[in-house]
Amino acid sequence: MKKSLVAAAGTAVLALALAACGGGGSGGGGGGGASAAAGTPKEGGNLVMARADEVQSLVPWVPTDNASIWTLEEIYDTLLVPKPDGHGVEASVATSWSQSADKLSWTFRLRHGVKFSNGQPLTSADVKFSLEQASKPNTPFYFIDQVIKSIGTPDPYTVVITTKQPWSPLPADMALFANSIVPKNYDGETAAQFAQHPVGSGPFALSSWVKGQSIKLVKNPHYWQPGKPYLDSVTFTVVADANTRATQIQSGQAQVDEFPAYSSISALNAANTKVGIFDSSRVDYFVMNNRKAPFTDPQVRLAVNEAIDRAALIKTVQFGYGTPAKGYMSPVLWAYAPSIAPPAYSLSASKASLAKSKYPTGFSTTITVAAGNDIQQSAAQLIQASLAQIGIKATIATLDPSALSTALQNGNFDMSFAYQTTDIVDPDEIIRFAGLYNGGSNAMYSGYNNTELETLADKADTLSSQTARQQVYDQIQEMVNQANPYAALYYSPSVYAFGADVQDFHPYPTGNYNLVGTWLSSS
Amino acid sequence: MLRYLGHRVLLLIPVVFGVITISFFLMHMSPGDPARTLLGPKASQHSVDLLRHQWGLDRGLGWQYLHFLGATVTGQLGDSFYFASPIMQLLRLRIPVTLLLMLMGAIFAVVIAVPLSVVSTTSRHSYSAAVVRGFNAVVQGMPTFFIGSMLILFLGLKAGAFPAGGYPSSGFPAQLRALILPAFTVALGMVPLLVRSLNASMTEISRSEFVAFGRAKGLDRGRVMLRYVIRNSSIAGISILGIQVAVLAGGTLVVEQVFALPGMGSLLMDAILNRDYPVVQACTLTFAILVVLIYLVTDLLYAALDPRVRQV
Amino acid sequence: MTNAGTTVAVIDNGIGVPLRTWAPRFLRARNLQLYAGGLLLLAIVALVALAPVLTPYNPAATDPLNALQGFGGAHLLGTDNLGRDTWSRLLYGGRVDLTIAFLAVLVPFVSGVLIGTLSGYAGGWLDAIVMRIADIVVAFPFYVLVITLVFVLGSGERSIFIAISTVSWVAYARIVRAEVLVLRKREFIEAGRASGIGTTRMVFRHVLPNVITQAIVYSMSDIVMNIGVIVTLSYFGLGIVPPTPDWGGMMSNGQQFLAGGYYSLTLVPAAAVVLTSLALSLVGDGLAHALRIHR
Repeated sequence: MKKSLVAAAGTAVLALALAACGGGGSGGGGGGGASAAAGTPKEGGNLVMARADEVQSLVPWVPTDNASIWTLEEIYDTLLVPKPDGHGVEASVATSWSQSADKLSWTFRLRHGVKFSNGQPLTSADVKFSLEQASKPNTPFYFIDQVIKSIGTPDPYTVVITTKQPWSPLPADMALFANSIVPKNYDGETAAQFAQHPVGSGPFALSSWVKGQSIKLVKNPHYWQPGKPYLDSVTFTVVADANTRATQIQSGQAQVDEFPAYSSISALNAANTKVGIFDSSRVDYFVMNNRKAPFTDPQVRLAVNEAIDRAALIKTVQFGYGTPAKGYMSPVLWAYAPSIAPPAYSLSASKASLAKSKYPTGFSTTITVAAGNDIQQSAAQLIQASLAQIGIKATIATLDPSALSTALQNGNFDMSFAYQTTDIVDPDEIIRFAGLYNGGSNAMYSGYNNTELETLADKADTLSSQTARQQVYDQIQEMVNQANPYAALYYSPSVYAFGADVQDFHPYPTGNYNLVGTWLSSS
Repeated sequence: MLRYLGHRVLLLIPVVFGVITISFFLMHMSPGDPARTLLGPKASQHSVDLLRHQWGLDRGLGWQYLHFLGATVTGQLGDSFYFASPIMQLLRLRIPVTLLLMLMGAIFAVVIAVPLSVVSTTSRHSYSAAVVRGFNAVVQGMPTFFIGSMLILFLGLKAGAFPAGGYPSSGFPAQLRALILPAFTVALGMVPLLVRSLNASMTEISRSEFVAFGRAKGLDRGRVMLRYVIRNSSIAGISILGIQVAVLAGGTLVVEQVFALPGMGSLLMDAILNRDYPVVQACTLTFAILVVLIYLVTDLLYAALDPRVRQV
Repeated sequence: MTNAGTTVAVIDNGIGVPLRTWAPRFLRARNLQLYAGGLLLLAIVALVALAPVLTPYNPAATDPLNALQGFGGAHLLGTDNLGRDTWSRLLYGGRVDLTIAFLAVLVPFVSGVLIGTLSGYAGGWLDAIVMRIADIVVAFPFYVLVITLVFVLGSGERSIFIAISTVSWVAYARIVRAEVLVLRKREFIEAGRASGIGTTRMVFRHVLPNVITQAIVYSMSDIVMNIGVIVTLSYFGLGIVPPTPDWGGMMSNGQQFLAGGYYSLTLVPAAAVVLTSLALSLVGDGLAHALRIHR
């Protein structure tokens, strides 16, 4: 069934002068992938990845769905890319970057020898054109580039980005998929024509696309990293039914199964298939509509939070894959605050909190879930049972994903589920998106409005020291924790099942497949 | 004959018109916004409004309906909201898959149903009739998606004989092979009713006067079956099959989802979920035309085989 | 012909082909299907009706620690992924499904039969319009119509009921109309009209009773199809709202566990669906057989 809300994305800041580059460990979600490098990479082969969703568009500044984003990341390059652990950015098309003394501009030096798949060299003019497209107000991620005042191209291999205010997250913003580099002026084509035949400088180039069914990418012969990619081609197929995908992996019809059902993981860790548990920035929330009674009452929200047994949810609904959430930021981002302590699960404490509220005897309410989303259905039923024990009678309502999206946007719900993943590896995006009223989602649709948080977030973006920013972000997360606009449930990993011959498959925490280093031992 | 044909064709136009009108209003009455669905939750309301304006969604419903009718009549199906590409292209790839699936399903259904029906009505042993009835009842009760996933699990995986869903983009033999399990699933959905109708009409015909006459003349049982019963049952059988296939037109939905087939059904399903109005309209229009064409062919065959019908 | 004194009997199955059956006398002459089906149906209905008595657990009671248990032990048929007792959910779910499936046949039956009778009897432009409307309804891809209606009306039993009813009446109308068209020409109708009996009385006292039998037979398979529709809607996530159990919801919930080797979650409700369909089909066939004989 169709995807839930919120696309992933991550940006990373850091680079340069930041000594306190956060720890390199991987956060929540479990260990690394199971495709250990066995021997030297072999060239050749076609990798087939079966996914539930179809690609909507391959133009960098158009789509918001993961299937499109993760596919186009294989076709284009960005100036910088996230580090494998998600705690920073590293060089890609740009080899070095620095902020000016007055902090109002960033200079990027470009690598020589980068070519698009049509053989044309990539220069600063292409970068300028691409960023200008991504900054147009009718694109979904223009808010990331809003801070850009102007883009200068003093020479073909230098780009100078001037910002409206000092902006530390800019390097991370340049790693955002929406800021991918396309040929200037679409190489003479119109935007619509380019959309049918996109051209990028990434490891793979588009070979064929049957809308809604499959996409085939082939190796970019002009790719700037020597010897890579190893794979000759990658094919993404659309297979909505999880059981069918699992069968395809087991029979070898596909090599990678994106997001198998949690319950099938142990079965898929068999002889000829493996399952990889990778870090993801995904955080799931149980959201209450703070604008509507009884959720206007903070004691009620606290009571709900205390009634949720996160450990049971993880065990039953996610089959143990996930860790109970603390603050609303994922451990994958460096702004994660392990010191935050959400209300502990305790029915007696919950009843006590409810007793202190304006609704001591409980009330009736609704939990709205997305049709076809088994995980939400199961979680809702468990929470419903818990709430019943403290006197809150919840009925479950189902809406199809499109209608649910509208309902959440318009505040037409009592309680529901939502999740977010980051698009950039800098915490700026999610600190705002999930915590602030004006961050893009009205604080995960809860309607929680604390203007002090806005001021704090703005302040953090002007600071250059990561430690200083961390302190501000700790403050923000603690304030949200005290207010309980929603219950942050758990941090989930991203799960892939793949055939035993797939080697070095390591998606990044931002979701990027990073297929440039993947190879097939059977080729 | 030509007048009959013309008469039938004329009756089909209001049907098509009715279908597309209903689908138009149903879609617009559903909650959910195509622009928001496309742009995602992080887009600003301003961007969403711009897109709605671009698509003409901020105009009155009446205007939109007339605009849509005009475009449809002149054959302009427009572009998909979601894929931003011409709908004709999408249809051109999807229609053959569904048609092939329906055709193979119908063939399989006949191949399975006719022998079953013959066996159950003529066998000397009453238990074979009972077995067929039992098989019928069991199959009729099983939901399509269940049959489909069981087949994938056992024939696709364990036996490895058939691909587990999916449809290759080229290579006709491979494409046919990919449709075998789905066609079988589709066929099983049609077999019970088909067998039942064939049984009923075979029984009725064999009791009829001309069969009695044939037997009285001394024709042996086998020839009676062949010359009279089966040939005359097939008239009614074609009619039933026609109805089944027509119903099937929209019914491949579930099978396409389970087997990951890129047909009209899954296109329509996705379009509904994405609130991709133009694609929904185009698909329901296509289905409506397909259904009426099937009815037309069925009626024509029926009329060609049974002269009594033509005096309508 | 029977051979008195032996247990061999010969039965005519209507084709003029003699059968032999080694069945005791009391079984052979009667309508076996009707009895077998009827008995099975009665058993199923009794089981689900007596659900509160027969099930030790609350069907909505979750027990995450005991999730995905197998058969036997504290739970006769095991538990599902949230630890709920499968046997309890099976019986309570049966109540929901059978009730909706049956009710969703009633309204189309009544409306379809009435419409079909009137349309067939009156003929002319009324008939033409009614048949066109019927054609339109049928030309619309069924699941698309049902799914969209559920979107518009919201999920739950009421919407399912309305969605099915909107489409189902057509079959009854068609069946009955066909019978009426044949009947119209029969002498006793012509005689009735000639002697001036009013239309309403004609329809209700003379036409209707003669055409209704086919509709009744069809309604049995219609109930079966309704169960199928409810189950398929659950596959799309648009079925009965949890935690109310129903066979469709149980099956679609169980789908995600197939790849992990947990088959019973789907197979147990599937078996219930199949058994119920079997019973209903037998009853339908039995009725058809019985009514045909008495014609």
